[in-house]
Amino acid sequence: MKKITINNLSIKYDDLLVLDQFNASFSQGIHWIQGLNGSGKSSLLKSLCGIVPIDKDTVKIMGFDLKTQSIKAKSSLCFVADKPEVYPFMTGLQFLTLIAKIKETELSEELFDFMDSIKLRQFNDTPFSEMSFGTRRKFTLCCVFIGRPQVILLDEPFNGLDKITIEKFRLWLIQAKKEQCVLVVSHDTHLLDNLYDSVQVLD
Amino acid sequence: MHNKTLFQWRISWFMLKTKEFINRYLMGIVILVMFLPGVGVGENFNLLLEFITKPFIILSLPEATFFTKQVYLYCLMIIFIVWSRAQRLAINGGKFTLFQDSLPISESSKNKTNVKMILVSNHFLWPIILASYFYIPDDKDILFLAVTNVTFLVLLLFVTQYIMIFNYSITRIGLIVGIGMIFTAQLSSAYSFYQLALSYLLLYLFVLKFLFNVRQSYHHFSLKRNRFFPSLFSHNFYFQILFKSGLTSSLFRIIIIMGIMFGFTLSINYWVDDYKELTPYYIVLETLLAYFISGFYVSFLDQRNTLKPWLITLPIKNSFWITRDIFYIIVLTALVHVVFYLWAISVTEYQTLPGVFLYHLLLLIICYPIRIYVVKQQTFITFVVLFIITSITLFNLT
Repeated sequence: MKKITINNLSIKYDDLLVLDQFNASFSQGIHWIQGLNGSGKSSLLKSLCGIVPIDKDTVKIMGFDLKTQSIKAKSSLCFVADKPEVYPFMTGLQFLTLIAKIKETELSEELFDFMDSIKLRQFNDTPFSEMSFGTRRKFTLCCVFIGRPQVILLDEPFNGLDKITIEKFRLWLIQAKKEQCVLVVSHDTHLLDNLYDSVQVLD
Repeated sequence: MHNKTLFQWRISWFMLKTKEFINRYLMGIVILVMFLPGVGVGENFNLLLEFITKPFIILSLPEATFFTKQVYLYCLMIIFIVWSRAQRLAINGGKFTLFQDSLPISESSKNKTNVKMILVSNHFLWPIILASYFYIPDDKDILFLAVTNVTFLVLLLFVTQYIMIFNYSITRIGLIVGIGMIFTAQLSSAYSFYQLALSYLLLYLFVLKFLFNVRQSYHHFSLKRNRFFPSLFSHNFYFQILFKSGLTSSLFRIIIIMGIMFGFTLSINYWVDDYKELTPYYIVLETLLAYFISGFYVSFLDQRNTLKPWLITLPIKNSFWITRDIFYIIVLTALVHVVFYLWAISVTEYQTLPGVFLYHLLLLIICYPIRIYVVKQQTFITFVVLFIITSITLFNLT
């Protein structure tokens, strides 16, 4: 089943046309989005999750139109941005709880196991303003475990992460790609080697 | 604790940003508080409240002239827009709301939260709005009409703020404001309301589209460009940085200063019999002006400091900046203060001695480098507070 369907998607900022009539579809697996700087990779991910406004009938997530059936479509997806933009006074656990509450689910054992494996739980009650960049990224990355999203959009997921976390996350990706559809924007070629199922090049 | 709603998080964010805002403008608030003895807060509180609520009531009265209504409407609109503009980041929830757009939250739920935030953010205007209902003339013929008009006016101002912050489309703005104004015109049977609606729309579009340059929805990082000054000063590197550093905040400052000058003019017409009494307050106002103008240079210097690692690699001598800083600050500042002095003479019809004017102009010009180069704002606060107290005492004694 096609988990993401893109039909004639155009992204335009004022006079700058970033994507023109883009068409693609993705099923489960890891799909690597490549391209030069400024070619629209991040914009594509942001339009697939509703941050960048799109037209009706251009993006379908799990068969639901992102524009007209946004709640159903967004319930099945998870977006991890390249820069974590979280309220500075919010603690790590409060952030994850808020996401779970919005998605009407609970924090899973799988999530806590992953947090333990990368030694993240000790920062549960630390506000984001007091965390390092890498720790903040780890918390935002943990969103992929909330509500078992079928579509995962990762923008530069390995940025700022330590070696152990990268390894654990790679292992998780290998498991996830059997069922879930993961779109990755990354310049770390060596980290995605032997991991991806398809490559989409934007020019 | 862990189960806070999105609205509660937005309130926490709003409080954080408001705290930062107050800290930033602490000096301005301190100077404004110095006006209070002049309007007799203790003994004339009722008079003061009636004065503050006047713009709301004037607009609802059939006997007020079209010109008066128009002036008051613009004043209210500017106050509401400037306030919401200053608080925009606090109200809209910051960059977290971008991430929030990727979550399954319904549009109606987001809109409800946004409306609540607009209502909360007007906390300091609420007492004035509510008080305005108490000063509506007790005349049975116009009471219903006046209450309706005041209510509609308040709603219109809130809608303006909402659109301003959450970037609604211009078409929708026109529709809401237009329908609202026609509704009011029907109620008041006053032709001038149509004209008012048109002038409000024109001014609003001007403010929105050109001055504040509000962007529609999400915009790409590469499109952060300034439409006016770079083209105007495209061959002057110094001017480019000077005006690119904070055109919006500079306009915000200019609007605040214009508002203060307008308020000052209204106040003296309302309260002051002898213009000689004004001198200390004129100096307080001038200091407030200096505070806002110097803020422009502070943000300019901040901006330049962010470029410092790159600028030091350029073949430019240090003296390039220092000579220009001194020249432009003195010329631009002195010009602003002279214009202000001439305005004060024309409005109040009183003449301060040129020597006194030059004396405090000199003091103010000393304040600028202190504020700009001594980063700790406290030093500036102490300096200016001492200066104001000395001036007031000096003029009261003489």
